[in-house]
Amino acid sequence: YSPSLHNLLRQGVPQIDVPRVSLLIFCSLSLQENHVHDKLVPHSLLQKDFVPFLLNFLREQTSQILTNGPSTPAKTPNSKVLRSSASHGSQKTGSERRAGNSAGSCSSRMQLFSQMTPASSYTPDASFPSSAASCGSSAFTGSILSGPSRRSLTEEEDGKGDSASLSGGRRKRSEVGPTSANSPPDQLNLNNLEEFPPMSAASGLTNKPSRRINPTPVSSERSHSKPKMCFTSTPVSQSPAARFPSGTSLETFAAIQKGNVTSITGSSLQEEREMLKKERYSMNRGGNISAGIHTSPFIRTLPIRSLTCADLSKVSCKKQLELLAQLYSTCIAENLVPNIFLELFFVLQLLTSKGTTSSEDGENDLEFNQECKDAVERQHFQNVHNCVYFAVQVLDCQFEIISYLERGTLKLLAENERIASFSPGLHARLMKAYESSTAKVSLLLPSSVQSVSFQPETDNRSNFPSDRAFHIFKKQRDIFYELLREWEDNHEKPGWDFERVLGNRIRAMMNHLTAACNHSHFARLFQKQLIQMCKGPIGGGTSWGDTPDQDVLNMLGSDNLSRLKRLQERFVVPQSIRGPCPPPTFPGCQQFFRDFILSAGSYQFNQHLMDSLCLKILELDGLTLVEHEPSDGEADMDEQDEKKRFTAALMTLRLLAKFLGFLVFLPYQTVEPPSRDLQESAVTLRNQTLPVLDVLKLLRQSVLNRRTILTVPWIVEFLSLVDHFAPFLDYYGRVFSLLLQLYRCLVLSEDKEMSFLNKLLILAVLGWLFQLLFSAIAESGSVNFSMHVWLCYPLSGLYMWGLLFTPDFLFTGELRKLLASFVAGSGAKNGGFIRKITPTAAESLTAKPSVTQQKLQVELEQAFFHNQPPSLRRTVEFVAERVGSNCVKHIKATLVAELVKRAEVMLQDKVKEEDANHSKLLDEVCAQLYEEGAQALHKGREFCRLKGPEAVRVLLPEETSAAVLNSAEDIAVGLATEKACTWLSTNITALIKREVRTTFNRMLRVQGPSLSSEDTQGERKGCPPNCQHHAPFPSQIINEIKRLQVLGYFPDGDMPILCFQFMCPTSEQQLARCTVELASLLVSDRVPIQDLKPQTQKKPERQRGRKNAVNGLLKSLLSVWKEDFWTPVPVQLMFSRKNVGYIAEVEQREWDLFLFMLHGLVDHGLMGNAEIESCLHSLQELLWSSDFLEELEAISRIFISEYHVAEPRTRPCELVRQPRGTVAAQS
Amino acid sequence: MKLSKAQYDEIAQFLGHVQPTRQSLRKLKKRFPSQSQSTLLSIFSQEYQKQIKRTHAKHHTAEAIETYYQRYLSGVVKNAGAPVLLELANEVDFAPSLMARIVLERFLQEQEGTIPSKTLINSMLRDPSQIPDGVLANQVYQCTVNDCCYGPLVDCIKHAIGHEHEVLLREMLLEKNLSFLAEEQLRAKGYDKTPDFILEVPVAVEGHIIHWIESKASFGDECSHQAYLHDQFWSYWNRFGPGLVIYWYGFIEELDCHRERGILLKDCFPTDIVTLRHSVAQH
Repeated sequence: YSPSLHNLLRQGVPQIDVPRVSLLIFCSLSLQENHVHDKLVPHSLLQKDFVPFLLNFLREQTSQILTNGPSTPAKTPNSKVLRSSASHGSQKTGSERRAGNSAGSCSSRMQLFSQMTPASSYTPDASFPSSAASCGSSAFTGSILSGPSRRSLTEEEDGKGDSASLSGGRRKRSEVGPTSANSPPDQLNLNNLEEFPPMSAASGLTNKPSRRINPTPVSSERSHSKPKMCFTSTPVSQSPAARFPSGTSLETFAAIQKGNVTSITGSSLQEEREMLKKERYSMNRGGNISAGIHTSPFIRTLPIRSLTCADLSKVSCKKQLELLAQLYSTCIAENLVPNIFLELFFVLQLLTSKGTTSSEDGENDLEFNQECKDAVERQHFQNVHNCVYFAVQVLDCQFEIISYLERGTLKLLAENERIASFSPGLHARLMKAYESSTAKVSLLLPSSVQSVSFQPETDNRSNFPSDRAFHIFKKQRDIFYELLREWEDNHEKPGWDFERVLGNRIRAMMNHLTAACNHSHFARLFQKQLIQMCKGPIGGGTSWGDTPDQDVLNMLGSDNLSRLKRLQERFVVPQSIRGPCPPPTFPGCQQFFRDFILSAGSYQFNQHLMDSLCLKILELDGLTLVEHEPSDGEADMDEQDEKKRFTAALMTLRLLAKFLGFLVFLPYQTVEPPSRDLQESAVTLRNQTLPVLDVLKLLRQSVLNRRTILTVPWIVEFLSLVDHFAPFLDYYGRVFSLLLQLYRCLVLSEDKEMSFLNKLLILAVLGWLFQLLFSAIAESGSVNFSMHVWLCYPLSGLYMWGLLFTPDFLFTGELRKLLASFVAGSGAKNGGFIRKITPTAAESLTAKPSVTQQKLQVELEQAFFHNQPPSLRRTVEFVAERVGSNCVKHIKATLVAELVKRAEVMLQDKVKEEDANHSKLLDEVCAQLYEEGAQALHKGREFCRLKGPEAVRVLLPEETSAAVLNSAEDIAVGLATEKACTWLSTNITALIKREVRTTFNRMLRVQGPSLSSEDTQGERKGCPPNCQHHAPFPSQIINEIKRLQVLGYFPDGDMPILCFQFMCPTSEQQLARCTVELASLLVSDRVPIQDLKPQTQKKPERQRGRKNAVNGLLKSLLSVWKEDFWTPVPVQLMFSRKNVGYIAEVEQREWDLFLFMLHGLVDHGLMGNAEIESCLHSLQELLWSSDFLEELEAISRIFISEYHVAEPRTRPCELVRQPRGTVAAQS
Repeated sequence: MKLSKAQYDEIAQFLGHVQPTRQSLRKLKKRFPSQSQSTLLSIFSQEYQKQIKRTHAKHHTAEAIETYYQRYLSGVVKNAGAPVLLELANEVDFAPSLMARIVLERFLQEQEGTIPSKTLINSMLRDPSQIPDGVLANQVYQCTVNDCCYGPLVDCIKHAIGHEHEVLLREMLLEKNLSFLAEEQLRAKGYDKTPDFILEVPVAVEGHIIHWIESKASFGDECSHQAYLHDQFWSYWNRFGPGLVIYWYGFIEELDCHRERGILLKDCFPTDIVTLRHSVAQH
């Protein structure tokens, strides 16, 4: 145990200051090497121990309640009665290990982490006291530590906690191994609860006993009976059956179970178990380990019981569970757990735990909890209620990840009644996520075995050195397919053995190839056939399981096809829960190719094949990745194409990389874990050689170029097949180190750098790889690996090492299966989780008609390309893609634009009529347009029909025969049309609506009274036809006017002509306002005018000249307002209290200018009589000096009388001191 | 015409007991009136060939050869005009042409002192006037014209039938507007195995995609079909994908078992042909 955390939790969880501790731990987890806060220095050891401890703790705590999941429960505890154990089973025999096989992957629930962390961290003085001291011992009372638990702890620390004894025990065991398997059972220890669990009716569900067994690999004619130390990786030489993807047969399932959990990190776990047992015994027996029989509070006799109903009210120690959930979630969120999916799987196991509680639980718990007060020893997960509570808490925290799961899984989660009853909030969110989820698991249609076509360019006589070589290869090709057909027909038959049946024929073929130097030709054929048969997810690698790819179906665009596919998926997707840690496998057809390589055993062939694989990998890895902005719902066509291309490339890359890895590391594979003595010399030797493919360089490049999403998955496939020593080589050490850094960097959160799903994918594959790596190292029995590799690369962080020691890996698909099995209630019966699908005649019949017409056409299309040069296909696909894309663009630019224009007219009319409901109006108008929108399909077809053939004709060779050309053109047109029309038919209405809405909004903004928006400008305002756009910028004019207002004088001359080239609504509005202000100042006659040389002229003369100048300015202002401004000019401002106040402030008031302005406003149509009258009227109601008020009244009267009596043209303007003639002359 | 295995077996059994004569053929037709004549003829010929193959070794032992030669010599001595060789062949249940070949070989060996070349023998069989001995020439001639299964005449007829059917097939393809590459074009391109026709644009026959068509102007029985599969059809499949074999004179129904895998059998030019038509209307 990690003493520091031990201590931390032991202080009594109830008293713990939750936020503080969380913070503390959180900080310590997030530590970077160089950023250790002073206060946290004492905890620096804590950080590396904490996570493994926590995860182990959870596994240990839940080990008894968890019976669901991928385990094959031991059916008869009796069978274990004879199992022997010397000194508390610390030396299990081989036979026990084998017996443990039947327990299957229940081992996955054991200690997640073994004690592989450097020994120093376990010595009491290194971490325990320091952390104890700093972990707030104020809350720490001696009484809690008193009693047996304290003693047990001390014992553990002093004794078994010692790493020397750990490694000693380990070595011993690996030496004993098979020999002890034959030794008779020497000692029976009935007290050992691990060995002799109490019988119970529900024991079929209790796999605790089997948990304690080291599983052995299934033995076959080619594998060895000795136990593998590898947790996950099936030995390369294992019989094909063990690697065959689980089908429906239980035998297969069992074989996989055996194969998967081949063995265990054994030794270290053993130590853990020992400690745990001791501790428990001592706890209950006052430290007297050798005491007699007792009943453990941990294990209760249980009645037969169906699924327990989880009840929130029965949850005990909620607070502790919440704390644990919080800690655990933080670890997941910070990538401190080695595999997110593994942890999710574990959480779902808890959620769906079958429950072995009895009604007495409550009492027992109480009793029990009183008995052991130690927080660590306390059972927090002793009942279903607690498990579910914890699981729901964690799921709640991890909602973001969960929401990305595929639809089926989400559905099961959303419908899970336990979640619903424990957290209605989470339930609601899950429901919502499910409803909006589109992530579907989909598989490519399997292509029936197709041959690689004969291409004269590469395959005819001129490509061979001699007639003989040519003819020999002709024969080899036929033999190869003959073998393939034979394998296809027979490999599933019982007793059929690849090597026995085909081995000699393959080797004879290889001899011929060698004689004729035809290996390169054959390697190419082999690789092409491999890609052709295995690139799909079915036959292809399934290392990270289901690949969400919604577009595959769309590509085929047929209802029947999709139905067929769905049906097929249900049959093809393995229904058994394989356990969360599958080794790299060669499923489906890949098996043929792997076995072929093994049987051929040809150095020349392997070398040529590796060359060929490297070349193809490099080619595909160079695929151009186009980044796409996240689109707002409306999926872009090009993006879909990109996705399709990317998926295809990724699948092929992973397939090829797996085979390359297989070939590269094949010479070094050993069935037995090699001894450490060999390691040193082997590593020294192999460090001298160059890698076949420079994956390190490629990995670095991919990180730099941000292409990890393509590169990392295939590199992981490649590395998943490393031999025992390869991880110790300098080169691969660097590769792993870089991958580890990458893993730590990719904390799951939305950011701009990388999408959530991409990260999730990379984390999943990396987590899986680390697991495999760990297995390889565990096999070699080297604890110092961490020192050797990881210390060289300090950035990776030593504490990460602990994380690598985890036995599990999970497919996302496993989550669903687990949940589904929960729903089906099929439970752990026989360990199989076979979904109940009854293929009815109706269903198979629905699939059949599709085979006829549309499918036939799709097939014909594919067949057409088969015998044509590959360039033909590329050309046609390229043309189809571009023409389809252009077609949509064309429709947008023509038809849609036209419709929008018409919509605008319609809206303009209607928006004036009824100002009421804009959205309704919009809908109405759009509805009228949709019908015409349907034309888009027609026009789209026309476009494709016109443009497609042109392009194909230009791009294909002149010599192409007419029939081929026509077909190519037709296919290109068809594909382009389908692509465009599919998009158009689903998106055209949305597109029209969106465009119309945008236009409408713009229209409203332009028309609306408040021209608030800055960025919209309605119709482009016209400058005068001869405008040279040389006028000052609006900003300059505004600035000038502003300056004038500040200075308080005006230039003589006209207003500058407004040029609208650079005008925007705000500047226009501002200009309008400014000019009105300006006019008000002018009217008050209190502003000096520039260039009037007041000194040189007499006063009346000066006065007249001044008036003229002001009149001139006012006139040009009026004209600008009327002619130039599009925006309404707020001339009413002239009548504001402030602006009229200008006049009032002047001693000798000049009203003629004001009157002139009033007439001007009317004459220019800027204001009506009535409007002015009312303005004047309201002016009079304001508080003015009496004399001013009188004058104002007089002016009003004059204005009114003038307009009521005379006609506008010849109005007298006589009343005031100024003779009217001046004004008239100027007007 | 397709025959079931049972039907075929019945015919074969019947043929096991008759001589390969025109008379036998008439009996056969009478016995199986519902079968087409050409099918029966083809089966008749194949069964006879099988029988000959079975007994071939027996007639080629040194003793047998010597016996036949001596009987020939003594026979022509008695009556040079009588069909000595033909009667001998019928008597020992052997094909007359082959009997003629045995005797001719033996004769030339005696004359020249060396074993004559195959080419020479073939040439003489084809044109008996080249045979230095007039009597033997006549005897050989009688044998070849009276043989309905072997000999240069029959070979020539068979070849002609094969070719005619190829031409027929070509016509049909042209008529259906199906574009193809013929054998000679394929050879020119350097293909190592060449079916009669490769379709430039594949079609679907009865729901199965086909890339190539091979014409066989014979009945498809088990024996010949297995040989063809191994030597030709699978090789075509290995290179060009699935294809169609037309056995113009019919075949045993049960042999048409590789449809799913890509070898389709027909006894006539197929009518249910779906071509790649990318009419936009289909969407």
